[in-house]
Amino acid sequence: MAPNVTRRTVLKGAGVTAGAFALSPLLGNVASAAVDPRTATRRRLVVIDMGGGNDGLNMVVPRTGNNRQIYQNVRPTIQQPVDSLLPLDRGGQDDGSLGFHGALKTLHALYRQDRVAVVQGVDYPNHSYSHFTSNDIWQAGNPDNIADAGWLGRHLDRTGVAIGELRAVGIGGTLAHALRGRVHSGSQVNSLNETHFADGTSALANARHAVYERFANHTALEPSRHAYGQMCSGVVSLDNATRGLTAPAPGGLANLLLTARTLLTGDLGVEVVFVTTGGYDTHANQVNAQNTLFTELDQALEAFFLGTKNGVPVTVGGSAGNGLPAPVGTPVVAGTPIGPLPDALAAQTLVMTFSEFGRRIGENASGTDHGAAAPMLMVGPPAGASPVSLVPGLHGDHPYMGSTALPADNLAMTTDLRSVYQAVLTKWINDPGSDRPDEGDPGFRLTGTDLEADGSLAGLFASA
Amino acid sequence: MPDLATRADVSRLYGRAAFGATRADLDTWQGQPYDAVVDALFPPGPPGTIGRLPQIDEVEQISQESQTQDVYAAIRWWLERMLETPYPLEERMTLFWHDHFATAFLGEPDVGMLMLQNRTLRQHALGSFRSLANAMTTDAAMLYWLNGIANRVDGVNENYAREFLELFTLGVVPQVYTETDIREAAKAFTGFLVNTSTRTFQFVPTRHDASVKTVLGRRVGGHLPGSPQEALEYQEVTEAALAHDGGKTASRFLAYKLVQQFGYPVTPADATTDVLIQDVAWAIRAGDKWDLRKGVRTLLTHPKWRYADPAAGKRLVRSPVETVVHAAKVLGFPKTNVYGSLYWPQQIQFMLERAGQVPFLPPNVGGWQSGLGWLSQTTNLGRYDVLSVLAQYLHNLALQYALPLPASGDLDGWAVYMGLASFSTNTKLRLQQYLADPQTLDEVQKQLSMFVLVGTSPDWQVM
Repeated sequence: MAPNVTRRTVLKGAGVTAGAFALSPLLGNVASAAVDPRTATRRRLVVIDMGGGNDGLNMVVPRTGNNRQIYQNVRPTIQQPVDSLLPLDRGGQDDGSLGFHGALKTLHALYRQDRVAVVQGVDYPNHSYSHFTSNDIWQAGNPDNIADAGWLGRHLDRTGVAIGELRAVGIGGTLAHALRGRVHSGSQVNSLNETHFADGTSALANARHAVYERFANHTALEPSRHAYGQMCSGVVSLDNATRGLTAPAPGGLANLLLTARTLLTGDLGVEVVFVTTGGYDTHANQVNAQNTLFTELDQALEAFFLGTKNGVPVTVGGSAGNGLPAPVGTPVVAGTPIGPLPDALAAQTLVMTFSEFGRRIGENASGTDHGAAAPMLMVGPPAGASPVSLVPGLHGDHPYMGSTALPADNLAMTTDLRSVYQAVLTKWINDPGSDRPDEGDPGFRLTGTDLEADGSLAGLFASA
Repeated sequence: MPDLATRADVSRLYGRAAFGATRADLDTWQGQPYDAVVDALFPPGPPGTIGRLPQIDEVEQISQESQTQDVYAAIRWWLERMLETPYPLEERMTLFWHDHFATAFLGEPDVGMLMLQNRTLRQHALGSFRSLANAMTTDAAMLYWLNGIANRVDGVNENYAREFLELFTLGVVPQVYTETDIREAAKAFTGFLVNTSTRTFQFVPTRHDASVKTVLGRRVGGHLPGSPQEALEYQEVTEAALAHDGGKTASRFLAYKLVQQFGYPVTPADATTDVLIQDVAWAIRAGDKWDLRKGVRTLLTHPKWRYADPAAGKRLVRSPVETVVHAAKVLGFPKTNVYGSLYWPQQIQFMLERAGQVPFLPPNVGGWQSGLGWLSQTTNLGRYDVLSVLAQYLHNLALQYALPLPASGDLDGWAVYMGLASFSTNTKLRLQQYLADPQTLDEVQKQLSMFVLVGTSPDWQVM
């Protein structure tokens, strides 16, 4: 069952949003929102930024061997017991020597369905231990210039964005650096309750909004004012584009991923969603904090892919509304379960995580301080569903942890983040059948033994 | 010929440094010597004069209110203070330092600690940066926020030490400290706990690492355990940071942040080339005084700050908090005390959240965005909604609190009312088009719309 999404095109046809456009003939033409007709076949990318520096070593945890011994020695308080871990045991490199944190149950179930890839030891040269520098490097995809445009923004620059098209959307926080291109930038949606003007849609309000939209015409000779004016026009576009959309809100990170899902399901042209979450800066009280964080991450994935939370169907439209209690005395009306991610969309959608850094191998007392390389998680389409598939299992080498006598201090890079981004751009997002293909980022054309000619990490994706 | 302030000077000076001009501010200061206008913004007397600080019973009151209302009582308290203070520059600098030493309410232990931190920030806002930095190292809310209370000799926690060097004193462009400096500074910061009833720090020698450390090439610590020197060892880290490269590194970093927040978009790399940053930095570090009053006065009287770059126009995007406070100031909301005041609509908190800035809730230790970083569809909508909610609120109160609004068609009157010297070509054209729209006949509604539209115009939002 699809969520309660109304096609924007229908709304526009019905004249619901016509007010802002029709009431003010004096004001000239408004650029109408455009949807790429190929949206329906476009592959999609959902990126989750686990802000704060996620401790990869407690997310994908050594279960056996020397690494397990080192892990136990240097983490007396915060180690995850072997029997709590969910083993990565698909065979080959996935020999059960690693396991997911026990809270990542849905992720593990997806792993057993051959839908999950774990890219190990991801980082960049000359690692920075600063949240802000490192996060900027990850979002720009450029270790040499943290102020560079975002890696997904540059993708938008290469492919173009039609006026009003919601090709890339950021959810949570402020507009992510990754979505800021030199020319084009993504839009920002924090929830679908927050994209509409508080003063409503009366004739008076619509007349105001029509003027507000035209602040976009401010002279480009004043670039800051011009940029502000452009955003005013973006507000009106977003208001129009998201009319009638409702996302269920079971709480936590799941709210953001279900907002993403609603936008992807709607016929809005959305190709890239960037979700910002935080709280991973576990300097202290790490065991409890991580249980909460990973439970929330797993429930968000469960809601996004399966349409349930803790096994209970997530619904939309009932008297429980968007997770809010019904007023006293209201008859209980069951909502409509949103169900699993529709097959067609599941076949097109890749979810991946990153964090600005992993954490130190050894604990400080009850937590860990800033570290370096860490794994990225990826969840792809069901086996056989897509002509391009994510190759499940472990990719890249596990970083060296030292010896029991002399444990390493930090995990060193085994996979350059740029090779992962390039693979995502050229193998996954790039659709040769599209009118706007993206053949990758010139800055990502690295060379190396595990890399393809264009710099992509080899073997991450496969074509049918 | 004295250097007299034009109406545009007053509008931009107040807009960028004092939560915005009112019509009265423009009328009072236009034609006065520019330096005198700047000097009048500085509070009299020594920094942190006690009468200007929130009193302890006020802290208790707000803290208790906030226990049941989340942090809303504290937010409202501060917004009201920004609105009512006779010393708006001091208040604006307090907000600047709240962003610099960004500390968010975590739900525990209580809002009172943040209120006391706010008091400390105000006390040093235009005083000595050296004193401010030392006060923050031992601030109770900060000790919770960056795990200072978890930092002890047998479990060194680097969180505060790293941010102290990176975000609070030296910056990272170029990064002059090493990972070893951070680990050494963290050891020097061991030993603090917080007394939750008094909301003050205490130094516990048994938790302190008594060894000799080296931070940025300087010897730190190694004092007799239990000695008074050991209890003040944290100040040696401040001295090591301030002394780096003759004070240039820290003073340029602080000046860069001041220019970024009060002037125009700059990057940290501009700190070695931008004349304004150089001059402000010199004023701050001169005589090893770290005198913030001198630094800020240098900023506000500098020609490069006073006049917009003719090639690039006005470039400072107002913060959401400045938007709310200036709007309320323009509307002339009545003065009141914190108890029983009724006039801030509760939605303001949510609009501010959407616009991207809620006091006491910065997104992380790096503080808020600035410049164009403020802008997205969501945050711009928040800015719009702040103004339309205030306008509607006034309408519901039958305008009884509003100063007389200009007639809707009096464009010059609207510029003056909103604290602008004039309108840009496009904004003027758009406002005229609105007024010509046949759908909007009611004069009061037109006036409220003019308030919203002028307030959301590029002219008003970007100073």
